[in-house]
Amino acid sequence: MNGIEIVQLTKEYKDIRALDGVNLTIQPGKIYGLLGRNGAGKSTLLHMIANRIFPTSGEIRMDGESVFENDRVQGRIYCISEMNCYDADDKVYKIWNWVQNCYPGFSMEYANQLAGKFGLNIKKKPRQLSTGYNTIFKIVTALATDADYILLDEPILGLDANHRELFYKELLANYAERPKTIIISTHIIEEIADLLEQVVIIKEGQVLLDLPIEEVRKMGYSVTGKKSEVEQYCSGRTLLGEEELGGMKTAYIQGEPGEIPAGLEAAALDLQKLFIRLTNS
Amino acid sequence: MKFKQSFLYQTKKMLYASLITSGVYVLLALLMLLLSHILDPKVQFNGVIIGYLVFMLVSGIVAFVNNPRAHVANGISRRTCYLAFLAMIPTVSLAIVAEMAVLRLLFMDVSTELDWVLEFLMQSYQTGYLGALFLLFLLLLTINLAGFLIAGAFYRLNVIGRILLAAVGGFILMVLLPLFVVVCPDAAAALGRFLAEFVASYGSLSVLLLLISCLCGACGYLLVRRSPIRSVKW
Amino acid sequence: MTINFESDKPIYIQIAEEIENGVLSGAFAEETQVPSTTEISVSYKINPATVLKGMNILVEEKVLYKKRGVGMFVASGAAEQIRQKRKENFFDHFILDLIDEAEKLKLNKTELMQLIEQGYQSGRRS
Repeated sequence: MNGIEIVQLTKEYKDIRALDGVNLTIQPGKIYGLLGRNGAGKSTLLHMIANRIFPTSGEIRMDGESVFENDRVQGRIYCISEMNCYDADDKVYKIWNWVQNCYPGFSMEYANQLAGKFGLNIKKKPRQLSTGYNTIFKIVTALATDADYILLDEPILGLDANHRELFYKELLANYAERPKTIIISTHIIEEIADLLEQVVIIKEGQVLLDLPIEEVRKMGYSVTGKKSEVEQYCSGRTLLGEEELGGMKTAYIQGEPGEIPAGLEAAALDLQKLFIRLTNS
Repeated sequence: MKFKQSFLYQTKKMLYASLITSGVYVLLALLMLLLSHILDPKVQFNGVIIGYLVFMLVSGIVAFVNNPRAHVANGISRRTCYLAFLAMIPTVSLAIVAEMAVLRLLFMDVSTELDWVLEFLMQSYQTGYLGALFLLFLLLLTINLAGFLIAGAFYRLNVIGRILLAAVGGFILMVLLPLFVVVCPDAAAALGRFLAEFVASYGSLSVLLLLISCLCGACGYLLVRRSPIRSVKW
Repeated sequence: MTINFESDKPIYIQIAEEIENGVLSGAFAEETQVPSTTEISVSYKINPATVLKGMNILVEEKVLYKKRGVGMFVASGAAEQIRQKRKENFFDHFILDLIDEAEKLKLNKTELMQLIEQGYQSGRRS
């Protein structure tokens, strides 16, 4: 497995540039978090890898071949998103028959097992399911294909807390059973942070960063204390953001903390806080 | 290549739908038979052939959006999907013609339409029963591809384009054409005779239908090959 | 085993420390197998690579060892080894921090000693 190479990928619509010269290599066998604000271009990117839409310019390659209109390569990729793709009159188990035809690695047994765990009624049509169960149907399908590259665009839309936890566990169990490349694109950052091995942040159609998660966690920290003392500490340091409450101030600073002067408290920035600081324009 | 899987998937779905349509006609025919025994004069129903033609037209129309989407979702290219689609259409058309022949045998008493159309075709074109069925076969497949092309044109065009296409098409058919006939009756008559040449003989009609199908098929592919998959509720 | 997701400490370090705690307390006896990466990963919803990183630290320190095809086992003498390491770190991590905190609260050395005495006498320690 060589991963997916994305080269100078650009997608222009009439009035906006959804992706602007994106260069990225998806390394195989890792769980990726694809993060970005609304409209940043995450879905566009995933949909292109999955051959759903075409770029204005640029390439996406796997094993040296373009992914577009390529049966062989696409047979190793499975993507889910808010889009409902299958025949509206087919029941879940019928759709699974069709998916099994196309993905030899699909396990009906495992799909049924997962359906049982989630409480998914496979005799219903997806359009008869609630938003949450429609998402569950998609997640179960994706996990059951056992594809080499599983792209999940907002996989926890409408899921209650119990189902979310079950999903994370089943995802990890599936990954542990046979490591594959999983790309999760979501807004609910903190919950999935510990599932991730690599983080990619997209901002305004470009890659802001592409790093292993520990590196991302080291990228910033916060310092809290008396306003004047915090401001003094901040001089000469790159500021990511700040908050004030009364006479207290919290500053978000780029880099790793060295010696923290007495009177100030330093804390690590969790992924979500860091993400917010980095993507606020 | 996932051609086989795609072909079987599309063919099964279409055959199932066509059998449902035939099933409805069988039920109607039975109903008519029953009514004929009770009422007088005999009850007839027509529109079977039109029914199948409409079925093929609508299938072609919805196929443009639904087929690629259900295929791309499973990692199958639009190209493979379309090739299988092209193989499926004559297969299903053949099946429908067979269904028509069976219906005709079963319900000669309650529907003269099948009889009538087939007789008309056989006489006008001096061909046998099978020859007439073949013309119907060509008609079914042409209309399916035409539906696909029309749907494709609307899907790929933006809102203004769609309005223009619909308006221009409507305008030509409902305004320009009648105007032309009224204003230049001689030219219209000449044009009419010229066009009639194309459908005058069995051979020329067959060739015309095949040409139209090929054209629709080729243009259909041009429209579908880079078509973006969208969440369109068709 | 508890992992504090809010804590500043990297998850993989917490995993290593929690396994060490298990070894110290005897929950993971020497020469027995510890839970697999998969089990810990699924239980705590943590990426297996992160879990493996934590466990590998312990392998490097010879607290754990790998048996091919079976899993990770606790090495003999691991408990004692961990105790030694922690004693060495005790001064830095606890004593110095304690003195810092006491100074913040304006407690002098005598007062701090008194508090320590009190701590031993109280029944709070479990």
